[in-house]
Amino acid sequence: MLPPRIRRALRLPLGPRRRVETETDDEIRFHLAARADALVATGLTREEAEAEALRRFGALDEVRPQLLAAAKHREERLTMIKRLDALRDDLRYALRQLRRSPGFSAALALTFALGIGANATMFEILDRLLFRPPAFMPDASRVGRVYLRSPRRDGTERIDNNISYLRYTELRDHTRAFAQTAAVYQDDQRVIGMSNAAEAVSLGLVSASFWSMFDAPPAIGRYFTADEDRPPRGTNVVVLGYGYWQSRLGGDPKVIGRPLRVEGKMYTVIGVAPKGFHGIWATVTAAYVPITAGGFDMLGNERYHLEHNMMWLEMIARLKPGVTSEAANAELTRAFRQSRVDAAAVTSGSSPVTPQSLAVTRGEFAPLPMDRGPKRSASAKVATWLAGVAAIVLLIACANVANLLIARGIRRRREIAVRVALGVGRGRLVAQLLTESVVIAVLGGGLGLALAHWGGGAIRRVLLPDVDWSFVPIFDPRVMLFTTAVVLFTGFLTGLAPAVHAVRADVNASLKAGEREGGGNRSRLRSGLLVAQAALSVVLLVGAALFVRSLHNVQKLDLGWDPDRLLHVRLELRGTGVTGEQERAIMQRALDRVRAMPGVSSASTLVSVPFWITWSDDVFAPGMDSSEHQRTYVINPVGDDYFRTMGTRLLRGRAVGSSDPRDGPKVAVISEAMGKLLWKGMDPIGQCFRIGADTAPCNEVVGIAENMKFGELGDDESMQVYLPATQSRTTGGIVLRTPGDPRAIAQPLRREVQPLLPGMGYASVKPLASVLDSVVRQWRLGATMFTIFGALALLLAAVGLYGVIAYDVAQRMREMGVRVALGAQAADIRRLVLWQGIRVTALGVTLGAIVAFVAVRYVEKLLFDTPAHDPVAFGAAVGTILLVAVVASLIPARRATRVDPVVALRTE
Amino acid sequence: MSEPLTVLRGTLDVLVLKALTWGPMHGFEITAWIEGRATGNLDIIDSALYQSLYRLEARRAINADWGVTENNRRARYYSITSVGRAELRNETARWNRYAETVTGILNTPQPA
Repeated sequence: MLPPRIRRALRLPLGPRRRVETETDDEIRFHLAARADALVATGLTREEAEAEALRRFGALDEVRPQLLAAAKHREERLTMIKRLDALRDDLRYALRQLRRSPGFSAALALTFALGIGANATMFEILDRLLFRPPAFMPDASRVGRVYLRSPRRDGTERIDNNISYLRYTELRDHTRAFAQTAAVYQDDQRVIGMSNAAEAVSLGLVSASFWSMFDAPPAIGRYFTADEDRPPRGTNVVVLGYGYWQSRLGGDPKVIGRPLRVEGKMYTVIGVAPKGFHGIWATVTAAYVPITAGGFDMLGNERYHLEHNMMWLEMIARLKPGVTSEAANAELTRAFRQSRVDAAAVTSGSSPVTPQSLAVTRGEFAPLPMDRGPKRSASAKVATWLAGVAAIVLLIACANVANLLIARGIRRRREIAVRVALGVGRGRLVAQLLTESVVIAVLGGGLGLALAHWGGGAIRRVLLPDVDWSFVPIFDPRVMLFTTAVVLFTGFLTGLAPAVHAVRADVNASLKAGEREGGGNRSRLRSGLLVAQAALSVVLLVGAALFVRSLHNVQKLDLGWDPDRLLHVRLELRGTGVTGEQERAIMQRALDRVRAMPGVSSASTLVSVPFWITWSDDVFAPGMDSSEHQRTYVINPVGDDYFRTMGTRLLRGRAVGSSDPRDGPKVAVISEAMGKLLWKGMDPIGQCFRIGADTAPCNEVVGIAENMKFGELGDDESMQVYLPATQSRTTGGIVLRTPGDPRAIAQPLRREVQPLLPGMGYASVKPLASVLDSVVRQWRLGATMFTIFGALALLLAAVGLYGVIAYDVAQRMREMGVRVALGAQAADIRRLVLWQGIRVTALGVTLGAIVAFVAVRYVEKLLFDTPAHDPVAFGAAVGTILLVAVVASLIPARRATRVDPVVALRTE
Repeated sequence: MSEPLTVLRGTLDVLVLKALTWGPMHGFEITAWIEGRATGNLDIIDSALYQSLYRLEARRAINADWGVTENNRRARYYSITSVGRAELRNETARWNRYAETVTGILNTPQPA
């Protein structure tokens, strides 16, 4: 007969460890007693039997610890197995629930996918901009970029990350905060390769110390040493980038020691950087040369290392252990001030640096990514905001899914009550419901990653066009990690409210009541979620409206020139040994060819190009108070047809150009604003001014041109000086206007001009609209992304509102039937349902508007000509969401009016 | 009578599983069951049996539950699971094959 098996009624209030010990001891004791009993039955005395039992068991002080260890191990294993089993059950249960209503599940997963996809995209972008350390750089957080702050002549502050070689050596030698320093310069239009294979690539000019900042042994060969990197002229050696080595040289290991033509000079290949090495840049660098070799060969100035006004390279540095960046700032400031004082002392004709000027002269050690330093781009600021916006979209998605899950939870209330009654613990129940939302989040996350990868590509290219995205893997580990975290967070956050809501329900009431009565009392939690959704949507819509208006204002701005269908041709003659006279002749021949080409309506030479190339100088006019007129005067030697080509109107007088004789009277056209500034009420035509110094020959004003937006869209001070190209020694490039799409003739144009250039010469063609694009980018970006995210939020909020109201109406069919039976009109019923939706939305809108009203202060600087508290933007946002709320409530409201009281009451 | 044989670790596990096919038992019952069938030929240290039981339990070949004996004493009762039955089948087959093979070789007649 089987012994009676009963569950232990009481669980001892002991910890699991102690419990295992006691139980094991109990078991040993029982065994010894049983064995002794058995032995007594065979005729032994009690004493003998007990001794024999002990002997057979084994030395107790030895085997007891062994048994305890085995028992503990057993318990651990069993606990783990139990947890895994529970998880597997939960997963199975969750999947069954999801399969039961595939449409509903898909909607939830899609909602998550939109939110998670938006966040994965923005994370990837922000990570590139702000956080990702350069590959191979150990302890990258200690490495930073050096910025110098100094006053401009007009008193505003200038911040430079580009500094002279001389200043770099001074800062390097007169600071002790840094363990390593390096000078770096990346130039994206340098010609590498022999004759036919010559191409313009990105070239890195770096100091030998650059390599020691990385832990990146060369793929083959070696890097250059400090001995090969000494001013004035470093050794002509070159380290190839891995990509260039593979694609252009077939990854040939015998490349070491071979010559390579770099910007017209012969360099010897000494090594190849490892795969995936990009230095400190996001873009691909084809090759690296010693900065003193490249500086000597390519800057066109053999005294490049001795002059402060050649500001080109950047200084990066690694802090010594224990040194704070504040300490580094102080040292840099001291060294920079000393450097300025010394420079003024040795420069003939320059006045000493004033104490006021010195007081605002400072050095700054900032994080390596440009967009975390003092010169971060407006696009990066917009991107940061957009990341926040993406987070809001995700929150709305969470609220939405939570609300729908609660709605379904109410429907499942009886089922859950049954499970509780059957003894399923509430903890297990919550775990089950959480598993469900996490599973949905995982599905949504997978979908979101796909969305981010395929759909986010466009956004990435718009946001960061300068980054080479070609090496972005589909499964970037950082993005995956982030997405996983977001998925888990989302799943738990979303599941918590429905789980608590479901479990809190009163078991008895649920079991007794029919399903019908379940939804009678509307949940405050659900209304709260709706309010939050509406509020967040308003915030996003206000942002979208503000950026759309900014973009609109930018686009209707009169630039004073017409950027569409303009091409700029740059003739790169560095390293060709061409002199000024020859250069002028080449330029003329190129211009003739360009003008003769079909598809070119007009062309001219020019030097300064809006938003791209600025040549500025001081301007002096007789009787003019110089301090009052400190401005940036843009000097632009232009050819005939310049004004017609650019689309700049000549307001009065005549144009200047190459028809003006070289030795004729010096003439100039100036912008309207410049005439007003210099000669107040007087007529500028016939007046005279000097360029560069007040001893320079006088230029007579012969014409007035309309003002041009040149360097900044918001900049109202338009000081332009146009000189005849013939009367200037500086040659620039060619600008031309096309009747059709300028991109179509860019390549033919290049082929036409290229043969005119000697040897290493190189012609590059660029549409000017693309130059402007980068200026307008922040608003276009803000407008596009805020609108996308705003629309997404609106859609989610509408679906959420519709879902909740439709569900409520379905639950209250009987009530509606009673109302109709008691004489309520369709209009009354409609008003009742509509009012419910509008009340919730209106509360959310009010809250959202308040939040937006406070928050817009922070985006004000990113807007263009749009007040942050723009009533139109706020009105549009509030109006849109209220309209959407009415529409979302209208459908359930119509259904409510169609209730047949007889049917509704009979279903009882 | 010859010396009792030492039982190998894995072998004890199979014996325990076999014992439990007769129904749930506590530790001493299992010992007694095996001893009754070994008729003094196997030398089993009692603590080794418990090591075996805990091992089997950890891999869910057997389940354990506290119960009360006929003498009203609290004891831990073990029962075999489906995992344990499968293990017993496999191990028995393996053991038989092993024993047959070794026996066959050892009983090969001496060459004339």
